[in-house]
Amino acid sequence: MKKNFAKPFVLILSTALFLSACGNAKTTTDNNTAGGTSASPAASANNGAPVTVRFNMGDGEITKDQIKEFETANPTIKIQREDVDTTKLAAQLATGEAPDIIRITGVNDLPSYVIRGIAMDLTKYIDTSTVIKKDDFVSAVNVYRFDGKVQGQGPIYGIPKDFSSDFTIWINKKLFATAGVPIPSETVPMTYSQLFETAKKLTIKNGDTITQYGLSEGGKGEADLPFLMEYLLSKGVRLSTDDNGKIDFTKPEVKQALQLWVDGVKGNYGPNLVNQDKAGWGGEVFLADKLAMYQTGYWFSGLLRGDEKAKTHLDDYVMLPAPVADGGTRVSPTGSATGAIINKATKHPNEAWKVYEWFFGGKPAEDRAKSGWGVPAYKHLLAVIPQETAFDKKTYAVLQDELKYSGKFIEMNPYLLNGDTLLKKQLTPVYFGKATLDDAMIALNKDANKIIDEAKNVASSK
Amino acid sequence: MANPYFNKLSPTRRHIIIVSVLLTVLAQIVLLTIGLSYVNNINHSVQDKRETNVSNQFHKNTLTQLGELSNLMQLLQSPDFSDFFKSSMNVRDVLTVTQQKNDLLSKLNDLHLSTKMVQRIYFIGSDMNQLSFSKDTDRTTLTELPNLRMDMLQENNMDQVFLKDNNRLTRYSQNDFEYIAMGDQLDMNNERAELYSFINGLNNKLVISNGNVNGVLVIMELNNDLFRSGLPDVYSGAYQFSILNHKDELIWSSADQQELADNNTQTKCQKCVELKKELSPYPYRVVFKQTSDFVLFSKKSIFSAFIALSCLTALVTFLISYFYTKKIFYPYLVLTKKMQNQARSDELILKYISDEWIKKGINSLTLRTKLIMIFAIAVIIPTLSDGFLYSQVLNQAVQNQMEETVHEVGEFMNVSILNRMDFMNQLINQLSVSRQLQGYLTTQQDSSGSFRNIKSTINLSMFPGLNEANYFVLFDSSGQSFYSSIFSNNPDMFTIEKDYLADTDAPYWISGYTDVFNHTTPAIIKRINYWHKGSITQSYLLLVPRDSFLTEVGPMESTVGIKDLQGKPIYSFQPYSTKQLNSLLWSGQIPDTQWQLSIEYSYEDIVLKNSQYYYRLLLIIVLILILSIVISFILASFLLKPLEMLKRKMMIVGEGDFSQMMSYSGKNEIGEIIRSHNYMVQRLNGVIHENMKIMEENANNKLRENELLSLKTLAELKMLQAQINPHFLYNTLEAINMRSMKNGNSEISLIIGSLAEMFRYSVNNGVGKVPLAMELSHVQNYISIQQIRFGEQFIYELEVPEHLTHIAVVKFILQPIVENCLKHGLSGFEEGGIIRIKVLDKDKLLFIEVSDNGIGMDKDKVIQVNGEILNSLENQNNGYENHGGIGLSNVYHRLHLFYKEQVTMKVYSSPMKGTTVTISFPLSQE
Repeated sequence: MKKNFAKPFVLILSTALFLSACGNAKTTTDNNTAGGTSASPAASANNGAPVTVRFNMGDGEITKDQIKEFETANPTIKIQREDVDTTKLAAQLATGEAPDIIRITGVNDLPSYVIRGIAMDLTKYIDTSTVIKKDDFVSAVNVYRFDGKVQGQGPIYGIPKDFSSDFTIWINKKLFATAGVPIPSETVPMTYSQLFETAKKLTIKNGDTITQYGLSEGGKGEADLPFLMEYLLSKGVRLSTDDNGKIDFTKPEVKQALQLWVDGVKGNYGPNLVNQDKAGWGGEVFLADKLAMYQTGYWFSGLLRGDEKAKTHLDDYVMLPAPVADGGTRVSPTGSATGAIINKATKHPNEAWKVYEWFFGGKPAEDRAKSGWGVPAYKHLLAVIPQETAFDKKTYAVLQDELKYSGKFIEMNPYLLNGDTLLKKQLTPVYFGKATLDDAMIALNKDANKIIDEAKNVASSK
Repeated sequence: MANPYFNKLSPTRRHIIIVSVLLTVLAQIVLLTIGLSYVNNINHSVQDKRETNVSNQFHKNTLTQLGELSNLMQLLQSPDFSDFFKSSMNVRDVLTVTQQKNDLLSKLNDLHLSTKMVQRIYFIGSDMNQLSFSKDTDRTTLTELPNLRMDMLQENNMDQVFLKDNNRLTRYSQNDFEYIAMGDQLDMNNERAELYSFINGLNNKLVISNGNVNGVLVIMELNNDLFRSGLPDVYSGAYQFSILNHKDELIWSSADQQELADNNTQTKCQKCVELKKELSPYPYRVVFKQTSDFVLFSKKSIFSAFIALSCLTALVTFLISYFYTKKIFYPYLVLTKKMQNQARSDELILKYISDEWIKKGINSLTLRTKLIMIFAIAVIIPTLSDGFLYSQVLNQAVQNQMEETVHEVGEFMNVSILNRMDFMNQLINQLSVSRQLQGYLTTQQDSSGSFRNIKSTINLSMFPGLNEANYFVLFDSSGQSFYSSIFSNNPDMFTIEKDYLADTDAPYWISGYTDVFNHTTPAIIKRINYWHKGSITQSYLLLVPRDSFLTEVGPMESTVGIKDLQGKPIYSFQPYSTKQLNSLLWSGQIPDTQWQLSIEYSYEDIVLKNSQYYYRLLLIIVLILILSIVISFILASFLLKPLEMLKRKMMIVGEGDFSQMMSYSGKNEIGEIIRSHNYMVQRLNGVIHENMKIMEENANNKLRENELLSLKTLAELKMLQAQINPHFLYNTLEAINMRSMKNGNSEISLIIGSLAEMFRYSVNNGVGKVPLAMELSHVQNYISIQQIRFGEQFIYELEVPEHLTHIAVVKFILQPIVENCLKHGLSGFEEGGIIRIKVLDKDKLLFIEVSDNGIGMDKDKVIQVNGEILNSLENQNNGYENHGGIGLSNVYHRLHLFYKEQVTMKVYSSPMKGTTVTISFPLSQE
């Protein structure tokens, strides 16, 4: 059963993570705010006819059985699941045809959705809910709070369906053995310098061919914005001004962090642009036992448990704490926290909330927690996370530790939705030795601030 | 009977000719209408058929092209082509870039794209780390676009334009990019220039892009006239084809480009057929317009042919009716003449008319039958001739039109086949350069010797357009198969003759190939050259198209066959199990190929429609015939009405009633007969009337004479009963008178004299009329005698105007009344009685009043007496005589004999007031 359940999740969660990394390049230039309505044909008929709530969520994230179960219990509400398609969603938001409940990632998307006036304030619903108790939230849920400037405080706009402390390191003990590198501690985090040194040692070449990679990010063996921001969080450095009106990538800590991956690309620590490894994402190489360290969250344990090959030797895989920046403090924030908001323009806020409450606080939430595909948003559900096998127990133990450091959130400028793309664009020539990191950061600064300016102007003119 | 219509509708020759010509014209009009509607209808069905075929073919061709386009777009987005633009080629080492660029270029060139379809392809990378190229189809090199990148387009808001229209054919105008704020963001001049030239390059071009959905923006600038390849070079000018895109914009029209620019929305379509057809699954629509009506052959010429025919038939009808009526009316003419002769000669000797001439031939029929016959002929002639004309002319027209249609079908089908072949050419080109196939060829070569045991497959299931192929096979240069997409475990099943393996790099079609399912099918082969271990190796790729490859392009209701020039069958498609009866053959070489296309095009439905129309026409002819007979009946009965009338009247006259006259004013044969008849009857009638009058007078005289005679006889009889001979008595009385005068006895002499006068009056002068003076003198004689008898009992008064004394009155009318006065009125009077006679004339009547002042009568008696007066004489005779009624009655009846009802006689009386008797009768001066 787990097997069937797992397969779509692999895809969805990996793309989810990927999306969070890639950012929504297209939405920044979208001049339209959400004039969104959820008017569905059935919705206009109020009394008698059931109200249809359109729910933007992946197939597999919400199953047909779950929908059926809900509809049986709530005959006046119908759920219409809609596929996750960022292009389509952008168009729907522009024309006011967006779904009632919209899937987003808390870390990347929430501030932008709040600023664009798409997200509905759920505080009063949560306050009066009998299913969801505010006190029961784990601290990571706060990523769905935004006061207009800082993420983590202010009204609650949503709840993650689950989350992970996404900067933990998954290792393959066998590959450590191959390279003759000792296994790092499961309780004391490495510094990033240590991590990359270890990665260098773990990378094995046979002539021109790389037989074993040392380290990869969620996507590739290259830097991405969440990595940078996590590093800076650990360092306690903020790039954006308080009003998010300006950003400064020229700070030395930025260079510090990125230099790690510039060297990492040069040293072919992971699949990257330069070596043009055909692997779609780091997990693919890790599962092929070709990658020693993979920086990703707790959710990956679910993938390992479900993978035909990996589950035969689960004990080779260990989750290690998220590394800390050199001279930084220990943090283990979430890098994505997929959840949903309710469209402010919904015609049926109460029905939408009913669906929302059920999906994010009811039985589906419990089912998710039990599956081990992520950390639940509620304290009371932490206990149901899988703890049967030695692998489970070990992972759970590390997780418990990490959660203690998951109350802080990485910085995401709400006006810079495609920051990740901009960053990667500027880093590429650096990887190929065509530009220096300093020049790249100056160029990035220019690009990013221009976009922030524009986005801010658009937002303020509304 | 004086109905003017009857008069006008007399069966004259002129009328009959007019009516029959009119009927002819009427039938012509009806048939002309039917004929024209039939022409229209056939026209429409042929037109519909052509329309359906042409629009279907174009629709299918367009779909093929769109499929080709969509496949190409998919292919260009596949890693084979798009990876290059995602691999940071702008920052890589030159060697790698050059090598991969050449690789890409050769792949692009190997696609052998046609400028008829694509003119330029843009590959635009996401940012400065990527490269952007454009490739002109007619050039073998890539053109680098140094600055054009997605992020640049994004900055200029152009990314949304392409995203919105992704995978949709669009024709951009300057307006689409108008709002793009270029300038401040583009600080470098050459960047701006490049963007401008890019935009200008797209302006008013047919463009399709992938909208940058996978990291590379692929834009294909298509041939503006791309869809014209769905049409043959020459086709009817009446057709117009257009294609609308998802925004309902006209993206292509077969009309010239100027028109396209002018009416970017919709060309108006009055008086023309317009068909819209979705190009599902693509979001476009084909609009097919037929700008003018097809005409089988000019309606005008049909019309003038029909008019000429109408005139001709009208003339024929005229001639026929002219001579026919002449024959019909011959007997009537003869009859009229004879009757006229009869009537005009004053002799009353009637001549018989010989009936010899009505015995023979057509004349033995009744006039009604003849009229019906002529009217029927008047209708049948045009009906039959028109029917014949229709069947001839229209059949010819249908035949011509169908020939044209089948020619058109053939032309269009040629194009369709070429399009489908082109599709396959494209597919095999694309397939041959695919990384998967190339990779397979290389690896199988590596494991040479043992490859037959390796059953690795080429994963091409997602290859765009490959679903159009049934299967493909790889052969080595000796014709040995080593890979097949189906039955891959058994490549030996696939064989090919070595002859089929030609020494050319271009794809070529083979004929007479029997596929693995034992069907003869067209197939396409391409030689693939690839480098392996420093040398060029060759294999052959054989692609067998799907069965429906050509079936889909076949026109409806036709049998299609394709053969090569040697007559080897390549393809055949026969939708019918049995041979069609009505079909046309067309064959022609498919341009640019060695193939001969033959089409057996069925026009069964047109023939069916045609025959339906014939039946309908036949039915209408029958109906017209029936109608014409009915009309003939009605007309004949109208026309024959005067004749019927004449016949009836003549029969009545024949029975002896001469009072029947006919009123008929028609100046025609019948009128002549009627007038002659009338004249004759009139004359007969006059003669008979005169005779009757004479006879009646004679009879009346005789009757009166007899009656008077009988009365006289009665009186004489009575006298004889009295045994007195009047003459003897008269003579005796004369003798007594003489003796008395001699003796001086004057009183006796007076009595006897009076008495003798009375006798003489009675005996002489017959029973006719006498002057009133004589009658009065007779009364005087009587009075004289009575006065002598009764002395002073009464006096006698007479009041008669002088001029009335000569009035002739009937004899013996006064004396009996006076006698009654003495006998009844004055009976018992000693003296003082008065008897008065008064005569006067008034209103041409003579009034005679005899009155007394006697005892009179009571009312009942008066009534009784008056009644008795009027009673018949017989009753009087048999009754009692006491009342003297017989006297009065006698007077009355005698007067009645003369004056009939003009005489009145009345008795007025009341007790003791006297009695008055009045008589009146017409004055007659005699």
